[in-house]
Amino acid sequence: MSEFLNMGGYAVYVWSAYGVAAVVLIGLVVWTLASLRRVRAELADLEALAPRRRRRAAAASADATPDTPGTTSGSAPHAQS
Amino acid sequence: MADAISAPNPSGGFWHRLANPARFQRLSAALMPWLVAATVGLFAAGLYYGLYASPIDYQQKDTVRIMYVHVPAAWLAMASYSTLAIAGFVLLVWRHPLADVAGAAAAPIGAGFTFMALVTGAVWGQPTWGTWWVWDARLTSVLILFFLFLGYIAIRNAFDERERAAKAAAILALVGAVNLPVIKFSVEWWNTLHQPASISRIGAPAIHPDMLRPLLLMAGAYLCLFAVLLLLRMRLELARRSVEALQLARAGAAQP
Repeated sequence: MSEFLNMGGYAVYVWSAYGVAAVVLIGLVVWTLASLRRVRAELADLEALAPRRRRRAAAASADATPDTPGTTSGSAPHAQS
Repeated sequence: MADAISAPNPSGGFWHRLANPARFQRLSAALMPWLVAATVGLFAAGLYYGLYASPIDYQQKDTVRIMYVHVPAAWLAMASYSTLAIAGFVLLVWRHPLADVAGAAAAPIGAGFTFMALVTGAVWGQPTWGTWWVWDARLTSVLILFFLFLGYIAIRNAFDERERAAKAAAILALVGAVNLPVIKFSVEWWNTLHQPASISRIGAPAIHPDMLRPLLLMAGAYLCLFAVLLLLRMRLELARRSVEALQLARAGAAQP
């Protein structure tokens, strides 16, 4: 086993090359899966919100008293979940 | 211009039907378990043969094992860039909406493989050539490839308007494609430290079958992992665009 780890005296080179490869590839997978989870959660939040928005927008136009622009456009803190 | 992008021909061929994101999601979901299984299996076999069940080189001794992580990384770096260039071409010529998604997905993966090729090459160069780095044609052109990936990613983030970003990035990808043959033939045009091709050459590969086996297994593992990552990042990109579209719709609804 130690002979295997020793790599004929080239352990530093062989294992650091395989280590860099592992870090890059595992890093890519973890980073991709984490981003995918985050964006999907964001998407689910927005989709859950969308019907209510539409209803509210419809109600607002029925009242014929539109909100002033900018009152709701800045309120999206829940998007950063 | 915009209508051409948003309205793929529904009666078109396979590639046009794939433009439908729902159809793409279904296909990629069906492929995913097979690709993941192939990736895991090929890595297990590749690492077993690469690190253990293969002979040492009579000159390089055990450092020859670095070949099995280095050479496939360089192959996949070039394959990733080819994906970028082809995606750019398809976007500019046919305005296929998934082409831009594929390009955006492939760029960070390609940058990762190129970085791996550069670093594992340096770690291999020190014990075999006696130097970490040399400004020869092969190493320099691969370094340029790395910067092309970074430039592509930077351009995508530099524009607010997605369509302009996609177009500019596609043009960079196509112009940068001249670097691919330079990388491939650099070892023949300029004979310096980096050795010429041993596998893809006229005649039989100049490598022992016992060493070719782990090399091809690792190449297969990298290729399957590339496919897995590409599909996942394409899904990510599509989800991002849905989020943007919904946010735009909300902003629009808030301002009657």
